[in-house]
Amino acid sequence: MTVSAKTRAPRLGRRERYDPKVVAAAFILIAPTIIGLCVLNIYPFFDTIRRSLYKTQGLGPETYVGLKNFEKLFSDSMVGHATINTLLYMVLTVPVGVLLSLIFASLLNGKIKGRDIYRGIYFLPMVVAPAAVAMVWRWIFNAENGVLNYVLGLVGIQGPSWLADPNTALLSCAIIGIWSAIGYDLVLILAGLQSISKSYYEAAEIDGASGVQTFFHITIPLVSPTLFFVVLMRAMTSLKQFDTIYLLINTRNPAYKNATVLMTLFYREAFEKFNKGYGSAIVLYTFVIIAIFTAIQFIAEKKFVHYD
Amino acid sequence: MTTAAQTAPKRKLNYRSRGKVITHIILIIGSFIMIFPFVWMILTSFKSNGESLLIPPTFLPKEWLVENYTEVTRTLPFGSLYFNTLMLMLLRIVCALIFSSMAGFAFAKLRFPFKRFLFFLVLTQMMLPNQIFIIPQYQMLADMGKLNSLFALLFPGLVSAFGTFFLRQFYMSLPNVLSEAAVLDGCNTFQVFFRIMLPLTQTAMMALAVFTAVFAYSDMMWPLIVNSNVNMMTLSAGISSMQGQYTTRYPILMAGSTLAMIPMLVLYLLFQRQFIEGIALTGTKG
Amino acid sequence: MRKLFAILLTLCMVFSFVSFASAEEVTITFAFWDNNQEPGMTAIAEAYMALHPEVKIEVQVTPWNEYWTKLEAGALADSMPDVFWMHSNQFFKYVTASKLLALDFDYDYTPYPEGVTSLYTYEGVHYAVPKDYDTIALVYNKEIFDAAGIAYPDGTWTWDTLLETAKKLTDPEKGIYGFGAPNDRQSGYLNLVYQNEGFAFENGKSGYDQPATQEAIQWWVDLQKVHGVSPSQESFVDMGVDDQMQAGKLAMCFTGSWMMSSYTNNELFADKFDLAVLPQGKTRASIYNGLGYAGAASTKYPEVVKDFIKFCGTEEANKLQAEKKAAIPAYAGTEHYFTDNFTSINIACYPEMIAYGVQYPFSPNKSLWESQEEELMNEVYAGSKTVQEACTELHAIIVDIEGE
Repeated sequence: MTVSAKTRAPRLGRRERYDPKVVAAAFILIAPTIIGLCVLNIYPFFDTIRRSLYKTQGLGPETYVGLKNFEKLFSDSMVGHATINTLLYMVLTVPVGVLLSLIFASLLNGKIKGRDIYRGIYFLPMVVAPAAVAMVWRWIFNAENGVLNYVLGLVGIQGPSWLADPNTALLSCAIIGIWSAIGYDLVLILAGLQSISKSYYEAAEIDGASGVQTFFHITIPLVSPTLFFVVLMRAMTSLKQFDTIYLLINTRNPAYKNATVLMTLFYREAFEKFNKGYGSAIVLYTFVIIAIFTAIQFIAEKKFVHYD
Repeated sequence: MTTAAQTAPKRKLNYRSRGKVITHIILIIGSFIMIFPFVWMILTSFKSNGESLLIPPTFLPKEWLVENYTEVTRTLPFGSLYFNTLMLMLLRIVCALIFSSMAGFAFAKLRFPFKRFLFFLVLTQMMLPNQIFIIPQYQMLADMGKLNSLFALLFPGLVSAFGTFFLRQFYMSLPNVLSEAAVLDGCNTFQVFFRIMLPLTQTAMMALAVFTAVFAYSDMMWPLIVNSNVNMMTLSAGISSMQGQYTTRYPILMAGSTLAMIPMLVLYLLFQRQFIEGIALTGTKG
Repeated sequence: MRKLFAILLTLCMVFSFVSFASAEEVTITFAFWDNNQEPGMTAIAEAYMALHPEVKIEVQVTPWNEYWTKLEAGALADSMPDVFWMHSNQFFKYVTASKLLALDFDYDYTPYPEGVTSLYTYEGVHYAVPKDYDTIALVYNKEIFDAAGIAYPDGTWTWDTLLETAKKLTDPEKGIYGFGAPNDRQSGYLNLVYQNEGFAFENGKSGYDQPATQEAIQWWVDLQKVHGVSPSQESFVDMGVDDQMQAGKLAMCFTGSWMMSSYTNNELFADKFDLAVLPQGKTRASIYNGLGYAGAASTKYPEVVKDFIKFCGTEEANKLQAEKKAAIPAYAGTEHYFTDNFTSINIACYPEMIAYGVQYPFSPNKSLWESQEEELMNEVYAGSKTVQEACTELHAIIVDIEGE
């Protein structure tokens, strides 16, 4: 075999046999992780599948109901609302969030004064307790006296009741979601940007490329593996979103139907209504949705992501 | 350099400094938005109970009450909370880095049967909500008799699907030429991993370490459920236990949250330079 | 590889270091959820430990949401706390799964409100000793009343008086409303339902189809939607009714006795409010509920647990609880220890109302329809359903679930 220019793991024909030594090494390397995952996560997953076929009453007796939970799922209007809200939430948070993180990361990648301070600041949302975050944002979004409406008022706009208006409730949660996530994504993208060799930029400079051109033709393609990862993670997380929405939108909120997402619905069914079977069905339904989007992204990966 | 640089200086200089100013403006506005909720949080932590509920809200506290802080340190055993949180972060980081780099490398660079399926298992964990893991994991710990311990805190984080996926991405971007050269030199797979590939992932490992630390830090529900003694809690769990059933004394909660935030911030500021600065990659890159 | 091994070894050492067992003495865990009541509970535990030095009691506070998840996880794994608070909503779930310790000792339950005792009795066996009870009263802002020159509420008030006064005190320009009427059951419309001689749920039957019930709920909703004396439901999302009250935006509202500790801790508001009994409709009523001390069936020390629970129910323990302003103690005659803490307000009206108190409706399957009630009422407030429609729908749901 020659040292080839192809750098992805060479895709050999089906007839080529595996190297037993390599296979053995591979299995040893993945063993701890796979075993751990099976015990910690895959087993509960199967348990969830099993549960979705039953109806549980409180702590004890289970009755087998087959696919009834799923029938109920597809006829439940709340599930319909929650699905739309969940997808909407994803559409709101992923593109905007990743874009903002990319912009900020690029800016912070260069040599500017106070760079370390900025990085510290952007990281802040990651280190604060969720309860405190929810509380502070609730005040910011307060219809009458919150900061946001106060500032809008200065410019002559009458701000809405952010958390209670059906039109803005989900948006408000999305804003908080983006705010909290910028820190994460920023760090990840920065790591990716940092690993781009400077020689590319130097070459571009010599060629007379402008900042924008460099950005689109050099930076983005080279950071695309990281971007792919960030987008994928963000998408998964947003579809599973629970904490903030649960804390801020309760069942007495007029905007409840417009802001409840699949995971808050699941939690309420499983832990507040003690309907674990139905809750499990919701989890599986969500899982399928996430799997579909993940698959889409992997297909896109082949087209758009450049691995060196 | 040559004439190219000499002929262009004036234009480049203006362009550069304008770019810098715009950059700063954007960053400052962004910083303000990032930081405002914290400023609010810290200011509230010095207010009195009544003042925190006032409408319209006051910005600066009328009186700067330090009692909120002393009370919170009296109520919660911050020493234990810091220790538990730090230990948990450390343990989880060690586990994540070791196991995920092994698995990440294997998935990225090695050929073996069932690879797709096994990787799908990794993805599965990330596509499922955490809540379904809580009760089964709790039961396992109860059966082992290890409830209310540091091990219990660590348990869900023994392996990391996120870490595996993240490092796999990174390894995939490392050129194969290096490993192929090493194989030709007679290295076995493990040596390729340890001597060649692993050292190249320092940046990513540091980033993963930071993430694992943050996930461990902010996990609130699990410590509350699996540990009962307040001395075995982590910071986030301890802080959230200050919420009363119907009312919360917000200034105290804010004071607790501020205290809880400080070590994380310090750690990050100390280490960010190391992993963000990055280390010049050797080998065939660039 | 060597480095790996070393790290693993260190890990093992660390684990073993932190998991060594404790000594021979009996340690029992005592779990509950309200951080505000922790001083009271700790006082009780310490008093018991003083009498029984061989027993160590570990107090555990877990916030409300996590408390139940944790209790459930513990129940499934047979590792529940030894002694814990029980709530009427959850009682059936645990007792029907045999997770609670039967309190099969001779005990005098007469000092406690009968309703609370029966809440925690199942098939003739007691499973919890009553801890406290709470009722709903009318709280009003003295300053606002004084500024308008209107007399304070008292025992003569009726629904009409309430509405009239609320109208007089509502001043949208100042941002002040006469009465806070959020979408709330226990502290809200259920009180009116019973005052109007309707009922919500009793003996397995739903009362939501009763005209008297629907009328009462309508009256409550109208306060917001028709008379405008209450802030909108949206504003309650931003700021709860008690927070609005304490911020001086409401002249009056209903609130439970458990809120008194919070109201009096607010030094800006503590001397501006006072309490009165609820106004009467066709009759008097105030919703009450009570918590109990229960034990785990799987506990390793059933005798110690029973003994401690008995202690929690004594006059002495109730006194300790009350002195720390936790809640109105269940033991008759000890209420004054609670009320003594609040000399500046007419706190006595809370215990007074237990005389005509109505138990907060509950049933084993309540959790299945309770949240639907909230959602339906949500639609009423949003204007997409009338009270009648919502109640009829709810009635059908309850009949379907409860079988009657």
